Amino acid sequence: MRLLSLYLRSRRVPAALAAVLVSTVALWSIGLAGVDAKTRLVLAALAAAIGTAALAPGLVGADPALDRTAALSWPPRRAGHVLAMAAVVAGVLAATVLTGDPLATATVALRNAAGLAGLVALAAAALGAGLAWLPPVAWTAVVVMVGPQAGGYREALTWMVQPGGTASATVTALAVGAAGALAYAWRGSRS
Amino acid sequence: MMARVLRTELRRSSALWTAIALVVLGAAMLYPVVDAWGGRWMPLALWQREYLFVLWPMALGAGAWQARRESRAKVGELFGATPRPRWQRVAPTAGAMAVAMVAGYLGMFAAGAVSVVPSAGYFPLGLLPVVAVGALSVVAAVVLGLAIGRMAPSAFTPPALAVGGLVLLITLPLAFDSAGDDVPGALLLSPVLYRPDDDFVTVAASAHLAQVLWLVALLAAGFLFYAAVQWRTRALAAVPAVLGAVVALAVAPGAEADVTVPDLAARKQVCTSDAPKVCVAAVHASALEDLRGPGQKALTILAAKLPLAPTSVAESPTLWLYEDSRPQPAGTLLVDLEIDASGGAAEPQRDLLWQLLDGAGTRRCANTVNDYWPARLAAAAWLMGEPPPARMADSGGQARKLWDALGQLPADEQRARVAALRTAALACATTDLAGVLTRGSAPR
Repeated sequence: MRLLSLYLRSRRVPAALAAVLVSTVALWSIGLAGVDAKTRLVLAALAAAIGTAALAPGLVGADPALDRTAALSWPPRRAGHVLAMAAVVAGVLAATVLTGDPLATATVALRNAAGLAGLVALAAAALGAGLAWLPPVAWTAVVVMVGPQAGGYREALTWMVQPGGTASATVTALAVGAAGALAYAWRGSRS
Repeated sequence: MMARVLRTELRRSSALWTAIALVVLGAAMLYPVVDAWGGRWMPLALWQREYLFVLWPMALGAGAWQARRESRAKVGELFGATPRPRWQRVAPTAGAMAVAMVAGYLGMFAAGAVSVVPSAGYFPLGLLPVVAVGALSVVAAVVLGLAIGRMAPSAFTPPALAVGGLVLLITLPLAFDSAGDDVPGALLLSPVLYRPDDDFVTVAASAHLAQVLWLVALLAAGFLFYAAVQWRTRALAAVPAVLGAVVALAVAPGAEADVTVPDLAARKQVCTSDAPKVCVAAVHASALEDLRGPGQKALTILAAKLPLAPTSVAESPTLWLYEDSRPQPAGTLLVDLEIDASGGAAEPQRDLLWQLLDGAGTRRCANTVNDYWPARLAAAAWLMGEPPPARMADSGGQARKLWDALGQLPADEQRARVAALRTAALACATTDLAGVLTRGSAPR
């Protein structure tokens, strides 16, 4: 328990968690103003993107070189970190169900959190944890601007604003999520 | 000396990657809406300005990221001990990032221009300031980001700036909107330019002037804050920012409606050389070939079947739906063209012909009675000599019924009623067009 709390503090998780909670509540309260289903999906995508972006700097410790010298098997721990990230973001998003006026259904919350957390992890492996927020925020911003598209690759590329149960969107999110988790587990954050 | 350091900074900073990211992100946003600007210069430039929604906060974040370099490498104290003044040391960094921003913004424009150059015939000079002010705005953003990033060199600063800026730029117009329809010119302090709906406008010079003054002041304030060492000097950065805002507000147009002005050169008609004359606005010149066939066919049909038929086709840039009670010209067949991604007409030729003959060759008016469109479609069907096609949104078959009933009448009566419908529709007064078709005259 003590090790876990030290780990979380070393990865600056408390501040990031506060940011996830605040941003989700803020977007949820905008959604309360009786917006249509399409706008609500946009808000849910934004909430997941901001949440994963806030957790992104935690993908690397203060001294990655020192971490690597530890006699620990890092890959499963790194994979666990990504999974926990997705679970936290999905959980906070889905917890809005408890208010009776959910920001997103559990399916959409899980899909967005899994896909975007994987994207953050992939970006951390490729660009470093400091820049890992960029791809999910940029991709989501473009998709929010363009709006959900129908059919073929356009539907798959705008996966984060598609309604729950859209097959191509779910497949894309899961593929990005799995690729990101694997890449980060294998390589860790680029330093 | 300065040039050599700048060249080194261009290679050693994140400038190159920032520029590439800007082009890729920009093109990724432009191309899904290529139908709205393909083949037309001004709409491309205005879409690019609208997308500053996303690009501007990203530029802020990029600046903040670059500013973290010294603290990341833990050399801040070492560099602070050098005798060279700080502003001389940071100017190349700011310069390199500014070059990257300008290159990225122009690169995004060039990526869009690929779909404009092949077909665009009309190049408005008013385009240049629209692009230049957009590029200036991202330069101001990146320098502002450098200043903020230096103040708060945390890993959280760049994402917080990018996301916070995005939320601010999205909610700002919403806040002004709730205050009433008349959005104040103060909104020009946001670099995002709200894109007008049609292709026939340009941006007012006073709007450009206000934005240039404000952005230059913001750039100066950002650089002062970034380069200053003492807190007293940093506080001075507020002076250009406040001064710029005040002066910009003084010269800005008072209302949002005055930001865009009609572009008369874009509306100038370009016509076919052979008679009967078919014309389109200069900005849509690439669609003239698509309109020639249906336009001449429509004129031939109208001349053969109706008295007082129009003799030429022209594109009308105004929507009659919003023009109150102004009668339409009888001698000209007006058309409202939709343009596709390659600058041609968006509709196939046959649909264009139907659209031209809709309402016996008139445009829809705001003040005709509800459900007037089946009567307009029935008139077009009579002129075409075939039933109204389902794809023309004849829901419930009302147009079909009207057309069937019309067909039962003697030929002279049919012709008289369609002619009466045309006269009534041209007048743009409050009329029951279906009544004209079924009874032969409009009830008063």
